[in-house]
Amino acid sequence: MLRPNPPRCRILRPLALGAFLALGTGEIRDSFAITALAARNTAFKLQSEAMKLYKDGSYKRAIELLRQVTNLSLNSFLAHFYLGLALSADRQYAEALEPLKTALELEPGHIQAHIALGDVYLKLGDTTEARAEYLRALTTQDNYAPAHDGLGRVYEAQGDDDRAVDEYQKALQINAAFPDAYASLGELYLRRGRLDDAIELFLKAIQIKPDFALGYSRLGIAYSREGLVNQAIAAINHGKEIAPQDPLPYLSLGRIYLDAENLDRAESEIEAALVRDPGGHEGPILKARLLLAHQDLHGAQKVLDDALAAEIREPEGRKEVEKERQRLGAIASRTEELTSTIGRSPESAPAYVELAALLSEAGAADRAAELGARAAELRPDPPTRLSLAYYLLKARRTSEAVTVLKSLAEQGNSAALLNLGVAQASLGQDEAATASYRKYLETHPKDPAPHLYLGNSLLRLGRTGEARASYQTYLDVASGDEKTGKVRRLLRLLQPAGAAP
Amino acid sequence: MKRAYGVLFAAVLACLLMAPLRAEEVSKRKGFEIAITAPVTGDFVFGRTEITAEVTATDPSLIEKVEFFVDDKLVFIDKEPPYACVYDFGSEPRSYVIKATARHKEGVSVTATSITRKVILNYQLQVNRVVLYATAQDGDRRFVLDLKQDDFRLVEDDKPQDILDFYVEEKPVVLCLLLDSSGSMQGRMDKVHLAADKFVESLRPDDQALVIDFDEKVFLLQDFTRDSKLLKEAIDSTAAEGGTALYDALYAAFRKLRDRPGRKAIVILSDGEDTNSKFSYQRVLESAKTNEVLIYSIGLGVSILDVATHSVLKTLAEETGGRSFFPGRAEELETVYQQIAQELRSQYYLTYSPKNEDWNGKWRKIRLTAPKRKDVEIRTRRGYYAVRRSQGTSSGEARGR
Repeated sequence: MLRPNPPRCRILRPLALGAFLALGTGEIRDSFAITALAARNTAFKLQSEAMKLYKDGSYKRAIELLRQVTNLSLNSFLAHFYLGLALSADRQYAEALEPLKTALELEPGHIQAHIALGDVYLKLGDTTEARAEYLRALTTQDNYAPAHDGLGRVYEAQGDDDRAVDEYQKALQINAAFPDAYASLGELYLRRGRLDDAIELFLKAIQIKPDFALGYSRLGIAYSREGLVNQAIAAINHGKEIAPQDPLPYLSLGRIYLDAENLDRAESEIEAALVRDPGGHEGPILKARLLLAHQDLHGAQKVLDDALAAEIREPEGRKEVEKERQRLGAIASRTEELTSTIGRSPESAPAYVELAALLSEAGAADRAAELGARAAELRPDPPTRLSLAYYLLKARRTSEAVTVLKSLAEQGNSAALLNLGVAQASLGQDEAATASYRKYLETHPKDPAPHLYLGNSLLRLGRTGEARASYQTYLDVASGDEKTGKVRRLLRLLQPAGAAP
Repeated sequence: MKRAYGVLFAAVLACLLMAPLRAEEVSKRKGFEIAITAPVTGDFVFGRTEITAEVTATDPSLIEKVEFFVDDKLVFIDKEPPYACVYDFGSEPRSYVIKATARHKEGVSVTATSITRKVILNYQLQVNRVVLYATAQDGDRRFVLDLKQDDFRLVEDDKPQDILDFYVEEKPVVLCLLLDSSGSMQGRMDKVHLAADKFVESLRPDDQALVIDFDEKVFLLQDFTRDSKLLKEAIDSTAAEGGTALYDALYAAFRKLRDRPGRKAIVILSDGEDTNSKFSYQRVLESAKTNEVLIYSIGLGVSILDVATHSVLKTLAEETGGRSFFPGRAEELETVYQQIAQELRSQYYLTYSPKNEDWNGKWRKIRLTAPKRKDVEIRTRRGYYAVRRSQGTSSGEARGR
């Protein structure tokens, strides 16, 4: 009940100063009480400072201050809302739930708080509550693009891509300058292999928001999937410059370098990502992949064990790590069994064959090649020799692989003939490769890949017209896989001047 | 060239974005409208709950049917008014998206949506047992502590229940002391300080308390402590100013108590109507019913003619098994606080396992009496939501009328 009379003067006790100073550094402690006036002054000052820190991206410090404010000022919407935002930005999703829910209790219908809470639920894998929050946002404002974008992400997480696309389209119809919806739709297309479409959308998102770090990272991944590795690295590095603390660009680069077998670069990127996000799941999985590439199966298992023993933030991420750990565990135990089988029966060709396959899957290419060679010695049938050739190729022992493949091809093995072409091409023997592909295509004219490989070899030989024809045949027989967009662009570049596109 | 690239880019984007959208869901067309009347957005639901929808049409005979959906799953089709179905929402009060679509014989449809709310029940973790704290007073308001288990009669929804555990509660209490320091308290704060100070002095050594000061804002002046000196320092620093955010303060106290085990109580002193809260009374009442917290409310100078405030303070106390006091003068506060302190030392602890094993999430009424002792009045909380502890959600299934 308000009264017009001026209030009684409050006495600021000496105690309040102690409380104020202590609040600047930690939680309210048991050792003192704070006076009413000091509580008000402190809360106001800390809240202003924390909101500034949040806007500057200093999330951890902002969280520290905002926790103090919410412990003190129990019905401050702004303090709870910003604490939720800062925790979410710092990827502490489970912790972000409570302050955001309290903020919404204090300001029911606050549209941005609904979106922020929906995002947190989605990160935690609770699509039901996430969807409810986005729908609540839409009951506050029925044409709010972020809510439709959020719903799209929910449907995507639930495996309903058609509905997700509908929602992204709605978001973009409401606000054609909303970069997140372009990125979301691009992400969906990226997952479905529509790389050209994804790239267009990521470029649009970046065009609208030039400091959109996520857009650059996703663009880089799309480029790398198209084989445009240099463009991918450039885009991701740009994202890194914008958000140096964001682990995503480092993870993306780590993956690209791993695929390119540039293990040193991959390691430095993965380590940088792990430092930036110790609670993430992709870092440990990539680190395990890296160790496998170094043929350290036990090290890879330990990395995943350590990650599982520590806190993995997102439940879905935890499942992925568990799945990978199980896969490696299965490889390890089967490897052990097969090793003892070989110990008991050193002439067991099937054991060598299976062990080579297992180690190849685990990334131990050299060891797989050795075992494959022993298997082929014991059982020199075409499938075993073909496998050997594959392991030799993976171990970069290409010349030896060519010898094996040639001998198999001469015996009429068509798979060997195709692989021979690939191996010859990788040795720079494009003339020989061209001959191998052509011979293979005589019996398999509807197989798209050899047309593409043939086109590549012909292009390297400077036989542009023939290359163009091969690429065109590839497009005619291929049914829209990831490479078709790239080949179409290549064909446009190879188009003679004046020709119709 | 750059322009041509721009045009191409725009064309590609247009193709990507302009695919046909699904039909919009609207709740209102000309002469045709639908609304979900229960549960409405913001309600929390569990167990078998009736979903009702109201459809208006220029010619009601042209309404073909109403389809009910829960989380996009069609659960019932009703072809005649009143349009309703019963759906089992299980025992987990989470967010459900409920839709009702009315189809017109001319082919159009209208859809209404209601989104329920997730609620966490903070009942003590005793698997399928209900915990009660009860107070017994005789006609002279003296606390009665010589009752035996057999003296009590416990009834849940009119069905007698067996008491399993019974003793006089000796364990410490966790308390939230809420002080209204709004402008209207001016001139009375010294007496409030004095009375509240004596109250915290009378707490037992193991009891814990915190101090919340509220006017239009709510501040935690002292977090949980057993140190009465610290509590008194916080109490004495409050001064009258500003409006009254009574419900915000109560809600904050529920939040502070949420993760605390054991017997919990809120002692709130206020002198008037809530003028500034962001929380509603309904939300606070709901918290009172979903948290096992005894509320002791003191309405200083709140006369019975202040119907709203009087009823709010009284209802909250009665729902939880606490008690409300309405002293006319600040001088009476000391006695009131002492009565509360004494009551907290004079309670019974009881548990029972409900005979109704249908954990349907519904509110169940509890009545505890001492029939052999006609002069004794028993107070305990008025009920609880029947939710099975440590169990998952049961799958939903809808039924018509």
